[in-house]
Amino acid sequence: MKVGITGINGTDNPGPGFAIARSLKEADPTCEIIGLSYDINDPGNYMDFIIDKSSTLPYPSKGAQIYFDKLYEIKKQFGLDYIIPNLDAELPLYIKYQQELKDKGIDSFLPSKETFELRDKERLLKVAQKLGIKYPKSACVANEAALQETIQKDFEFPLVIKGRYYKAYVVRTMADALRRYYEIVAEWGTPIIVQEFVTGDEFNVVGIGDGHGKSLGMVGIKKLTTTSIGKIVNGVTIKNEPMINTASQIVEQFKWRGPFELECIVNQNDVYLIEINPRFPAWTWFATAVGVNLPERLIKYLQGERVEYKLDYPTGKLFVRYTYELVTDIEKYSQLAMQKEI
Amino acid sequence: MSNFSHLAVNDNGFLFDPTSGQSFTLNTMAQEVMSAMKEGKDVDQIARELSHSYEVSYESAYEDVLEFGTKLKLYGLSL
Amino acid sequence: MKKKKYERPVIQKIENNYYVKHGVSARGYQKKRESIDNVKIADIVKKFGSPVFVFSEKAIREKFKKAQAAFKSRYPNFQFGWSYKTNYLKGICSIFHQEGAIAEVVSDFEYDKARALGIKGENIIYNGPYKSMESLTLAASENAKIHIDNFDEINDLEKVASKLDKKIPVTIRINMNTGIYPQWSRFGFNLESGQAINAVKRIIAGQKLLLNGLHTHIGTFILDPKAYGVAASKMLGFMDEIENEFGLDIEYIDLGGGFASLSHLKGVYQPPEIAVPSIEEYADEITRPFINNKKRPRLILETGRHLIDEAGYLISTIVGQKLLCDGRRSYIVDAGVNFLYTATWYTYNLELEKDTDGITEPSLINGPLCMNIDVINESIMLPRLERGDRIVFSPVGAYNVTQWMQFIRYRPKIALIGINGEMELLREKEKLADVESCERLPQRLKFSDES
Repeated sequence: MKVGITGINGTDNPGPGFAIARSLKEADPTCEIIGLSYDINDPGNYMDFIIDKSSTLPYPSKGAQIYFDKLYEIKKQFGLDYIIPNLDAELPLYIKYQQELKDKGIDSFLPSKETFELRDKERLLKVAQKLGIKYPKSACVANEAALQETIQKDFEFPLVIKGRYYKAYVVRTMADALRRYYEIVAEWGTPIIVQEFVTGDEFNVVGIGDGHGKSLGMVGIKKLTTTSIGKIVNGVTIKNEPMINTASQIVEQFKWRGPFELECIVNQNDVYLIEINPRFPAWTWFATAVGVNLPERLIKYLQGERVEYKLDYPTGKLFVRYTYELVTDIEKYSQLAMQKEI
Repeated sequence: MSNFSHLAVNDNGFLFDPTSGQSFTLNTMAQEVMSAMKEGKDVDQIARELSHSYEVSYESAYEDVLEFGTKLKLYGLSL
Repeated sequence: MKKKKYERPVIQKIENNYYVKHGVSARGYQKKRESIDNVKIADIVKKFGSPVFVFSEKAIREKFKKAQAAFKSRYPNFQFGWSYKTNYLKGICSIFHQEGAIAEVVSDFEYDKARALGIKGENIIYNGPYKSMESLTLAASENAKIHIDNFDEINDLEKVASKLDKKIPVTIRINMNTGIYPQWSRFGFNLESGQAINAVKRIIAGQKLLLNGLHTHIGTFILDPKAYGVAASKMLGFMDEIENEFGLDIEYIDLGGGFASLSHLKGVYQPPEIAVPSIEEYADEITRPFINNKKRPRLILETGRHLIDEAGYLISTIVGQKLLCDGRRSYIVDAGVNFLYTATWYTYNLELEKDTDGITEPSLINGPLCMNIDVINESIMLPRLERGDRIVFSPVGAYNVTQWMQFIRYRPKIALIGINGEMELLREKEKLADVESCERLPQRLKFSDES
């Protein structure tokens, strides 16, 4: 069995690829992992203990034909039965062409276009309403004047400045708000979302929906410490009823298909929806380590296995993330640069 | 004329400079021009040799070798 | 002795983002184009020279038929207007008129053009923020569909009505919030603030004009079809409101244009085939509120870019190249932003006529102007190209051959590849006499080098 995995990037914002590769290898050591990256510096390219082959891909922005031709070439030369894409920027491409990929023998398990678009922060309000939970008061702004006017009229500090898809900052002054506004606009463009800052415990759930309203498993955690950009450093498994209910509702009501990560803030019985990511998060291996191997379940589901999974994992398990180094030869780097694969 | 006499290009056309940590890629013709430079040949001589063995005019080869030298200079690879 | 094949020597440092992200080999990543509608690029250049704009008649007709079918199958009371400003070459307009589009013009010049092409006044929609008294008088006397932009224009048209001694049927343009950024609020009367209803009241009070249509145009290159659904619902709601209140009879609602083409807008990450909705998606959103409305007025659309952009190509030739001091390679081609005005906002497909391989270099494509801004592509990885190599840019069918400028060079030929592959000329290359035909030289300034 050969599985292609993207998101094997590292640095401050770790990609989910390693967690998935590790989970699949633990389930079946004979499974071969093809690491797919957009950058020859990505650590996954050199982690030959969980990634068997590395190949670089053209950017999705280059267009579908060039992109998928490369995947078909990999399939022809090395073999490729399944693909698990993990980056937001590439998902629209995979979602649109999943049937074509399947016809060519590369199967995947992805959300529909409609559910993928629910992650759009402009649509989350409607999602929250449908789920009967809260959504922090939000407004879209597209220029500096509108930002200032909106904040003065409708918001109080502290508040959150967010990009449409990426980045979120808590700001306490107008000057801070403007600085973050321009920072996000420069990278991701307008509109920018101004959002009420809600307090409470931030909970996360990783899970998979089967597309028919059932879950292939989920694990809930609380992040204990995070990096400055909100990435988990330490975390603990929990079972919080409002949180689990919300995740189950997402799977059931939206007939969610594929992996997801739910971020919510729970204050007493109030649940605020913060984000839904239509893919595995970087901490997916945490779930594997407590007995819920979601990448394995995803592949088995694609292979036709149908199992009723109960919500079953131990609470109070602690997750500790650390960095790890390896040394290899510059030849590998050169080979990846020249031949686009090792 | 060059400070790249200590550099070796591998089979892939990959060149790693252990003094600066920089990496380069060269096509076969660039490798050939580089060896000629290492031997101390000047632009005129290299261009003559290229136009003798390859489908290229002396003028065109001269221009290319000259530009190759400029590129090396840009990369800090020649004195 | 047989000489060996030569390849220019290339050394490239693996340092910049391009290499780290894309690798260094050209193989597989470069798009190629040898022909347009099976007519070889080489044959086109042989016949028309370089640079040359090329339009595909087949592509135009197929696109139009597909769009027409998408709307008519959902909502039969539908009409396309051809947006002249997008491309007002006679040959191009004629194809759209043959396919059944009426004309949509935005200036007296465009109005004259449509009339000269044989379009009757009643089949011309006359839009735009400035219409001269003369052109309003002409348009009103020829029963054109006049779309009012502002209160001054209501006054002007009432004067025309008195002069012609007839009640003039008119449409008002409305702007509204559809959730699109930026909101186009400078054209027409604003809906939410009550300006639109005031315009209706003003027209009724004047008793000289007869309001029988509503028009809006929410923006350009709109990637979210739902915005059109919002616009359609709001327009229908407004129609119902004013019909009930004032006993008007609205014959048509014109939802303007703004559909995206398969062009890559700078700043949009996803490739066009992902980011750009299909015509069916637009049609679904737009027609749904019409189908569900009790009264179903005629629906008019005048979406220019979507219909013509992909049918247009520009073939250009590399005329020079140089190594820049930052190590990038600059290719100078014979067509620049003087002909590709929209290069400011869009990154075109760049296709090479020949096969390429070898090491790629960070390159940029510059036009032939003596201006630093003459850049068609500021950052692209290309294998080493040669002088004389052809580059095909696309899609360039929308706006370029109307917004282009005659700056220091003659504008090139425009060709049409006909349905049967015939190569026909749509516009000659400019000559000195063409450019100077409007100039007048006072006698006293006449100069001769002879004396």
